[in-house]
Amino acid sequence: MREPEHGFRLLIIVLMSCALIIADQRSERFGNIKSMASFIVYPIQKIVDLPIATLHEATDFLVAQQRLVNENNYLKQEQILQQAKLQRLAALETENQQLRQLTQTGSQVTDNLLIANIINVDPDPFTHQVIIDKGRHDNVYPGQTIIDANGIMGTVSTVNDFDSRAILITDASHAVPVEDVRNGLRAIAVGTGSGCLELRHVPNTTDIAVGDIMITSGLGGRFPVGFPVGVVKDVQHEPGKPFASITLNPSAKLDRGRHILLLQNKDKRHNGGDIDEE
Amino acid sequence: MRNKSTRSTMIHLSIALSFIFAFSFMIVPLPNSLKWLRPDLVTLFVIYWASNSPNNVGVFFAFFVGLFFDLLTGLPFGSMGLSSGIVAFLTMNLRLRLRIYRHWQKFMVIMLLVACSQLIRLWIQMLVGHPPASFMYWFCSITSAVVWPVVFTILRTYQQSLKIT
Repeated sequence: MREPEHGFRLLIIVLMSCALIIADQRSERFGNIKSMASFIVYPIQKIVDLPIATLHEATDFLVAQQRLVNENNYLKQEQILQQAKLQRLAALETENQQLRQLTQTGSQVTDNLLIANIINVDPDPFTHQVIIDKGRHDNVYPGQTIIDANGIMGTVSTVNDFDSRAILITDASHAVPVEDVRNGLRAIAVGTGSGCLELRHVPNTTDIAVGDIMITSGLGGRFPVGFPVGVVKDVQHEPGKPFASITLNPSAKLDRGRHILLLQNKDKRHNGGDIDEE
Repeated sequence: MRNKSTRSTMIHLSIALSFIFAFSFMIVPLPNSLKWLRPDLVTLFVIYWASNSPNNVGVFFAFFVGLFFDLLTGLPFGSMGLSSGIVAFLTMNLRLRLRIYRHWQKFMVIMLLVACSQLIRLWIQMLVGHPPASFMYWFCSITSAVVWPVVFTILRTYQQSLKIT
């Protein structure tokens, strides 16, 4: 007796879902509404994050003094070493600037950095993404690049008021233009969805070897130049196929650590809006 | 009359509370190797409430729960809404039969319902762009069916202690 009523309701939600899915993909204004609605899920993310963050803080608090002293010494040494390297870097940078002026190419200096924390939640096992605790209030914008101490991590995809979501370079929908440090060969590194990246459309005869470091080439203007992306893990030439299959290990430690850096590139702020899709 | 409506609001709130627990479970970080095994607790909760309290949880309730989950996970907005709405509909049609099934039959039915919900989400993700490429995607319907008796017992106790009908 109640069957037709349920059927009617089902029809309504099927139509509504279709409309929502299409609006979600097509309309930018709908994205804004969605990001405003996202604040209602923020408390749940916080609830899940809280015990883990508290645990981190508690272990920080309870750590032995001897260990802290050791760590402090180590970090001081590290700091001196880094600064020594930085001195050389400053000289190189001015030299580079002068050379660029001579050849009349524009300088490509980045940028401000913003430190953010990863919120400890797993949104979905099948997409590689992270949620970070900085949002529109801290001038995060879609398309912004996130890095850690070792390399490029990914790209900010959606921005809410107080948090934002970023897709990692290993996600299947992420692509970044790269270049080989050894010989300047350019390629596109696309995520595979399984923890590593692959180089697309590289001819079999190209000189790329295991152990080569790939850095961002800056082509396309979305990623800044010269940040490490990955190290070549495997090169396979299959006879009969036009392209070599090359896999990279990401340089950034994607599944470890809480702190990340957001690169702020002022000129590009109004450029970013959509995300790199292959 | 007024008493009755506050009572029904209370019931809806306590059901929503159980779903908040399910949401939290779905986003607790797990090591990479275990992520595939995480049972789809939201769909299981939809199945439980739609079969045991169909006056309170119907197609619309499941739809809004699913939309909330979409916001939480960043899936295409509306995909979980659609799949849990459809699961609620199927469960309401199956619910009398579900009671008299044997254990292994229940296992099969739950597995099929979760797989159905996954299939709908997979279709939508394929339409939108990047579906999960791994066969492990389907594993979660088996683990969901495995944990069903536990979920059932816990929710049954919860339901009886709050006297939700």
